[in-house]
Amino acid sequence: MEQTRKKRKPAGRGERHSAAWGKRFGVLVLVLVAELAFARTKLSPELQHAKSGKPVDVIVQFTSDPTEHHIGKVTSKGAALKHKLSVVHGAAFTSVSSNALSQLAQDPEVAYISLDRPVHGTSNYFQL
Amino acid sequence: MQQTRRSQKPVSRWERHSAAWGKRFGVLVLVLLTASWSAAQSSKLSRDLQALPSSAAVSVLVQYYNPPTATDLYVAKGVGASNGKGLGLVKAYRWTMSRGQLSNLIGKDSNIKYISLDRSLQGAMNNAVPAVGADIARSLGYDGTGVGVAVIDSGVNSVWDLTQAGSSKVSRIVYSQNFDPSANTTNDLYGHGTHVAGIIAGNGGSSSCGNCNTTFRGIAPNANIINLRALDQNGSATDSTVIAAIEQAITLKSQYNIRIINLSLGRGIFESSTLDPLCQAAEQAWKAGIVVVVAAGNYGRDNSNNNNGYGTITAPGNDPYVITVGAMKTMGTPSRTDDLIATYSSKGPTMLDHVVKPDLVAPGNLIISDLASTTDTLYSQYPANLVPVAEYTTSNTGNISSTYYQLSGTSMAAPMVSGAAALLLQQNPALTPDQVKARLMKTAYKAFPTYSSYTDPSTGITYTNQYDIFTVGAGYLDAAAALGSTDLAPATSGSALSPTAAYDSTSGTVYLVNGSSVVWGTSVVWGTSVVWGTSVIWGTNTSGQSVVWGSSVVWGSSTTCGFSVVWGTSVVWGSKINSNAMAIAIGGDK
Repeated sequence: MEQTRKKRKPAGRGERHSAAWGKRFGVLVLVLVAELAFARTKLSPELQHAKSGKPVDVIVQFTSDPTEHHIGKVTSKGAALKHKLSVVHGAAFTSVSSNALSQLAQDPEVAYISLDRPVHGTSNYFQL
Repeated sequence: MQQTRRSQKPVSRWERHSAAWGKRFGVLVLVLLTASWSAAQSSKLSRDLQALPSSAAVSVLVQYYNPPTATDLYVAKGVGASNGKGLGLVKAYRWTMSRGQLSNLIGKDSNIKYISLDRSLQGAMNNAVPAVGADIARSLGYDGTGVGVAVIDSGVNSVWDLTQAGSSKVSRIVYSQNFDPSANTTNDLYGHGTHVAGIIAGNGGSSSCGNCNTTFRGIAPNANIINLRALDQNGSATDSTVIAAIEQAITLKSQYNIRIINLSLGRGIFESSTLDPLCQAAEQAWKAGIVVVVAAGNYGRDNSNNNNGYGTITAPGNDPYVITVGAMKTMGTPSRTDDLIATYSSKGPTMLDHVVKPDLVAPGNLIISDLASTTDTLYSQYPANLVPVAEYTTSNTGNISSTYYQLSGTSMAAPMVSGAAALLLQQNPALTPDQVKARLMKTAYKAFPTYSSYTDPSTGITYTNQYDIFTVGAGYLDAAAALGSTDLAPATSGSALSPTAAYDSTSGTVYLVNGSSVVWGTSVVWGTSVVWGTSVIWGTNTSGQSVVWGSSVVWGSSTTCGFSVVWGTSVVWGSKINSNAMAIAIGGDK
């Protein structure tokens, strides 16, 4: 059986150029989306759903034991240092804005950010 | 006598109709008022009191809204109450009266808030110590001497029971530091940390008098306490405060021979333990050579997701390194054979990571231990937990103890294990945290009933527990058996990680994924059935993995949604589950 192929006109220089840029743009979008998703996973679930604008108290874990340089990344955004927590390569901060959280989550030296959550003694059951 | 009748106008049909409806309305109001009065009466009486016949005379605790005045006492005596005894700060009075007189009293005194039975105390340390074999350990000469236990809690007061033996009054609280930003003190304002420290290391000095017939001694009665105060006067803190305290325990390890950290605290799980900073801090302490013992949590009654209490372990008890402890009831006897799981004890697997927890269970219900002070928060708020001195002495039997108090929860079970770890480390200081964990788990007592039930008298709700791997872990703490064993797990950190469980939706079974842990592999000494007992391992699946759960065994054939919650990846520790579980019951299991 004879197969017929539709003969295509060779693409012009402009078309090739345009396709290449299209590919580059696609890759760029993909990278940006991946980066945003990665930054999002650095935020604990409650912070991902936090109301924007309301400052929160958080623990930031860095990729290495934090120095003044690391601490400054957070305090320069208006937050205050509460505790340096070397045991977890981190530090606790008060009054961190949601805007600052988004920026910090994209910092490659930040490993994870979570709320400085309330903890309770576990003798909740009392005889009345 | 002549009677006169007022002549009445004939009643119209409309008037008759109206009068009939008036009567009906009156009856309705009467019924409603009676019902509401009756409900108000009942709501002020504990469930066990409501069930009593009206003539039965009982000893009760009457709590008042405002401190009882002479009028309140006069009213009580007026309805027949006798043997009145004031309980001071707690706005309560103990009376002897009949069930019928109680109803009468509630109707006459609006200052009454709640009346409960003056229930007998059943779970004192004198029953817990033999239940976990600590009395045998002491007879063998092990009392925790030289071992430091860091108590990260609400502070530890310098009570008599935490001094050295003899009359020197030298405290065994060798170091104290405050981390709570809300108060500048290392004292226990809540009344929790001192109780916990007493379970670990109380020597029973305050209950060893000439007239004493019971001594409330801790598991390792000569261990040293390192008091790192993190919880505030309401028993609360934040992650960063607890982490700072853990960090300090690591720093002080060599100076005070800190070999154990006790964490009778917790909160919900929001992410994997590999990311959670509280878990990571606990892990770092473990890797620094400190045994970390954590309460499992008190959410075992939670059924808000049809989960029957499964998947309710709290953080940092979800970390696979640490020893996580659930609570048992001693049933008021020193024998362990009749002991049962406390229905509020949180159950595994852990949310998100599906780690098999708790690792062990130990007595935690209705435990009598050291009272911080008569001004602490718990003492002031929960008068029913006060301890009559008659519990341990034959003198002044009408008084309330100013040295002991009763609490329930996995908070009380964790320090039992911390004390036992101190005994092991006194016997062999070279043991690593993993070796301590593996030894305690392997030698744990594994003879349990298939299931048990308990009905909460305050709510009437019945809770049924199975004794599976997610409820009792490797078994019931047995300090004597642990000391008697010479089995040594590999010394490397992480060799005794708690295994992970996985759910096979095709077969509806749950199996252990224990390949990553050295200890729970296939070795004769440390194999899964050896550590967890043959009763919780139901054979192997086609891949040779130990099957620990069949779906019908746990959930019943009609419930599958609980499964999806426990084995899914969504976070269920929202505010709802926390508040629900907190409010489920306010009473230790009896």
